[in-house]
Amino acid sequence: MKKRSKQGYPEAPIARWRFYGAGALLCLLGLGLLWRVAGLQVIPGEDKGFEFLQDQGVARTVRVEPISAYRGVITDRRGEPLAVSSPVVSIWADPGILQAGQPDTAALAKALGTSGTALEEKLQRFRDREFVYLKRHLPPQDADKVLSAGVAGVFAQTEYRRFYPAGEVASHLVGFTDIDDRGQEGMELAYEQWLAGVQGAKRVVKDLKGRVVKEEKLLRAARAGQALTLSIDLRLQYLAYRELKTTVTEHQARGGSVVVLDTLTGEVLAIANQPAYNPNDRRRIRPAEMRNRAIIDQFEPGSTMKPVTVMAALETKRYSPRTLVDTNPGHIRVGRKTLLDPKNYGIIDVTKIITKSSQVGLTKLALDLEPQQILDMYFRLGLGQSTGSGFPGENVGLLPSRSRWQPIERANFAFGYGLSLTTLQLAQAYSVIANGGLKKPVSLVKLARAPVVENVVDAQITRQVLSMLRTVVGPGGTAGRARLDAYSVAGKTGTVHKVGPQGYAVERKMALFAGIAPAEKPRIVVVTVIDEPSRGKYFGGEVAAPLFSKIAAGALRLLDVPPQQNSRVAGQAPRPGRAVKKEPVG
Amino acid sequence: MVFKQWLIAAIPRPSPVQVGLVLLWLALLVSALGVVYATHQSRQLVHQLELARRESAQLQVAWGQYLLEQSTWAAYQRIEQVAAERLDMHVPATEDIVMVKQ
Repeated sequence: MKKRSKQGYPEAPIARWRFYGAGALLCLLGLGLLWRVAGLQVIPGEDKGFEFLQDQGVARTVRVEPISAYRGVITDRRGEPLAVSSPVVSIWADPGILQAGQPDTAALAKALGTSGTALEEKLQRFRDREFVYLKRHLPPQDADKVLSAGVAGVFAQTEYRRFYPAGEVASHLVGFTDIDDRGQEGMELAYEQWLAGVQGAKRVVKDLKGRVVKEEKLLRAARAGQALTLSIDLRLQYLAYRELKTTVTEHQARGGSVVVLDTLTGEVLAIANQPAYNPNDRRRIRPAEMRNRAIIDQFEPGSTMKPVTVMAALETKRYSPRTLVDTNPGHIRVGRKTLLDPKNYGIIDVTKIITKSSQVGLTKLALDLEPQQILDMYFRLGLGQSTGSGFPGENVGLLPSRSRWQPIERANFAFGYGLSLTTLQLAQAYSVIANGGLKKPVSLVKLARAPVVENVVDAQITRQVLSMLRTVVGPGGTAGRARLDAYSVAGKTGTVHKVGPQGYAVERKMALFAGIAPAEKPRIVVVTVIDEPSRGKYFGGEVAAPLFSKIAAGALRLLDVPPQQNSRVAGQAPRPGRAVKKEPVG
Repeated sequence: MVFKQWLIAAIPRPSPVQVGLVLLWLALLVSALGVVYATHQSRQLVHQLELARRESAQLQVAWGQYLLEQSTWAAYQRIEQVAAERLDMHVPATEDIVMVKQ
């Protein structure tokens, strides 16, 4: 070029402004480009800037995934399941997509097992909504059938349903959850926080094929529900429930309760009630069936409190089991009321008062004591207070405190009227007698360590009362039918008039038995309560004692307590045995 | 020969700085490819982890269902019925029990 210009072309001078103008233009272009890049990537608040672009990217790849968490399993003390959550599928529809009158609704209704018109109606009614349940809690295989039809606008959602393998046997204790898996009754309610699982969520990046390729952030940690081990032994629970049901049916009673308490730990080994319900199918449930009578219903304990009054008497040191009391002539007038014994027992000792459940003898004891002494003894055995079970709706009973006591009130109070308690409280009170005066809190949950005990009565006194209670089951006692073949028993019967609208109702009675076995070395306390037996028999010794016998015999065998009497010992000559009785296994 | 000489002459002798730069550039390239590879690996592993988690959840569900099934078959009511009716069993009477002392 240079050569050529030298050869002929004159060098045209370039105007300076053109040179700088072109340079400035190029610079501006560069700046513009930079500005655009910055706008796309750095500068906040720009229209369709980096925020918009990132959002768009995120919307295409980032998803929030739920982390499922289950409700904890409830088991008995040996690990047998009592409540288990299992997934079920709820089918829902978007009425905006699935509209009434579409041809596929008929097929859908058939798959769901409902009528076509009902489905149409539902879709019509919720046509402005975007969500309507078509069917909740379907088994997964049934839901697959519905979904495989591929109807547009029908979706599925996984939920959890609680199943109760033990059914009605443990229904009152375990309780149940509502359709959204929240505890409503029983231990399901009491331990809701412990059992409930908290669903978590995490933010993940998904690729084109929907696979999770990156976990960005844990938004909410999932917390799996914790397992709950109850104190009951399902074998004993089943035994208690079966025998209670048989007895209640046999005597056409209104209801009944059984509590089996482990005297070593204070744990409840079985707690059964009648009537019961099936927690797996609660469509025809009645409120009366839902009550855990053993913990919620209070009643006057009647004669079962007589040993407690005797304990108060022994504590004064003025009485011993051999102290004689004159019960002649077999009745006693207190205020305007006459208290009767079935027959005149004459002069008997304190032990015999318990053996025969003598009203007259006990009234004499009661009138000789300060009412405060009896009240104090009742209170120390846990009456009028919570047992510590923590069961929702637990009743603490009623322990009246008066400043002035009429003689008849004092007498009544001494044999268990004018105060009320629950079956569980009665069992706890008897466990103090069984435990040598140690009171343990009642537990419905299996204990990990030994309970905190409280010494409330002198061991010497409870030993004396325990041996008095053994005579109740012996010859001449009121509860011969509570006897066990292989074990010794101590216990007390009770037959209580129920309070009706017009005071005590003559024909409405409760039969009670509170027993301790084996008497030498107590292992269990069993309390049986039968509410309004209506087949003629109503005495505690006739109705509740046989029930005790059946439950205690089976329970001690299941707990591996070695038999103490009437059993052969290997190496010794067999005694002539009776004919083999056939009894159901249990 | 001529061509080879020309070639040697045409390519300027790289200075040590230039050699270093080229090496660094190559290292950068290898490292960038390594990042790509590692990311890919990590994504695949995360996917596998997710699959394993899903499987664990499914197994959990299956466990619950088997637990229910087992407890239905092993319900005491049923065992009692089978023992008494089909197997003709009964609880031994107290007289029939022989204690073995240790």
